[in-house]
Amino acid sequence: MDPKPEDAFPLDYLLTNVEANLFTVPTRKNERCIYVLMLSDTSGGANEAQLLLYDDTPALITTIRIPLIMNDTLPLILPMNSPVLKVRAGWSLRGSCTVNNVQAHLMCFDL
Amino acid sequence: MPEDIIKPITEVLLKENENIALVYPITGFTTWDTFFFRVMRRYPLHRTYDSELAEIAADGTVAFNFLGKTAMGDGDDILEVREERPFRLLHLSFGVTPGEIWMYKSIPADTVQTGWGYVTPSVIGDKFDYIPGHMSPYDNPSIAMETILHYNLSCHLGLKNDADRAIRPSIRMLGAGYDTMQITSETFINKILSGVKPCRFMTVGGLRMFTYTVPAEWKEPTRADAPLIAKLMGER
Repeated sequence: MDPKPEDAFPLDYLLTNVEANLFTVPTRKNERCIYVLMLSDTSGGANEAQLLLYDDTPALITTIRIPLIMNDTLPLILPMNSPVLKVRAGWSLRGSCTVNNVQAHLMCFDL
Repeated sequence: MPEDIIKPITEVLLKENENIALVYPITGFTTWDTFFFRVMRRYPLHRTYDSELAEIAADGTVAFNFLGKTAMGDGDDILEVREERPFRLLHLSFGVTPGEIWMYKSIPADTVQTGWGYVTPSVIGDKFDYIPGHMSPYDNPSIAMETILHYNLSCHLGLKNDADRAIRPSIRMLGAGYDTMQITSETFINKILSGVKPCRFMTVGGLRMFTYTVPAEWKEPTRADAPLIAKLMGER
């Protein structure tokens, strides 16, 4: 079943320099697809956002590091059928940034 | 060729002068009571059900209830056919948005629809006997939720929110209302059963057993059983 715009939902987080859980994909789902990822630096200096993918053990699978220019917004936007990031059922996405803060806006859908 | 169950309901609605048959079960599942009708006139049915629905929590459910004018289970039943219209048929489908809302149908009201063989009726939240919005979307309700209604036949809906977030769903009903005339000619009915005359057959109540009730004004049904079908097929 192809995702439709009506199935998408936003998630918003304020990333801090302390790693925090953004979400865990419910096990009754197959995966969560993120097709819009916007990161805005609010620290006023050079910054770096980290997105950390954990499996259901939970063990760290990978860390995605995204450098940000001062006060800049980095938009990563792809069509719904080719998402930026997929997170499997039971897995978690955690996030942090080097310097407080980074505002994260995601658009997702669950399959 | 069997109809694709996610074909839009608009592709199977009847026009004036076409035939429809409603099939009801008889104990033992070897005989089916079938009522035949000719559509004399029709008119579109379209209705949305939005603010009448409350928000459903993530993974939450809404028990079977009628679609009331003010809310589910509250106010007049918007799908009720008036007693003085015994030959009025409502032929429609339900679509829902977003796609993660699951619809369960109960028609008649205490008969949960199923196509599976389980003895125990399904309950809301089961991973079967539901139609998700992906299969019958709001903007294009499909045959998967095809429904026929008449006086004395009610339809209740149950819902489940399979998403990980609270959702206030929207339901859209799309179809046509028919004023019909019952077909009672045995000769003509036999031609329909033989496949000579076109007719849209509609199963009422899924594949469950139940005791049906139809308007008192309806004439006796045709009891379709194996000997009758064999006889008619032999005559073709």
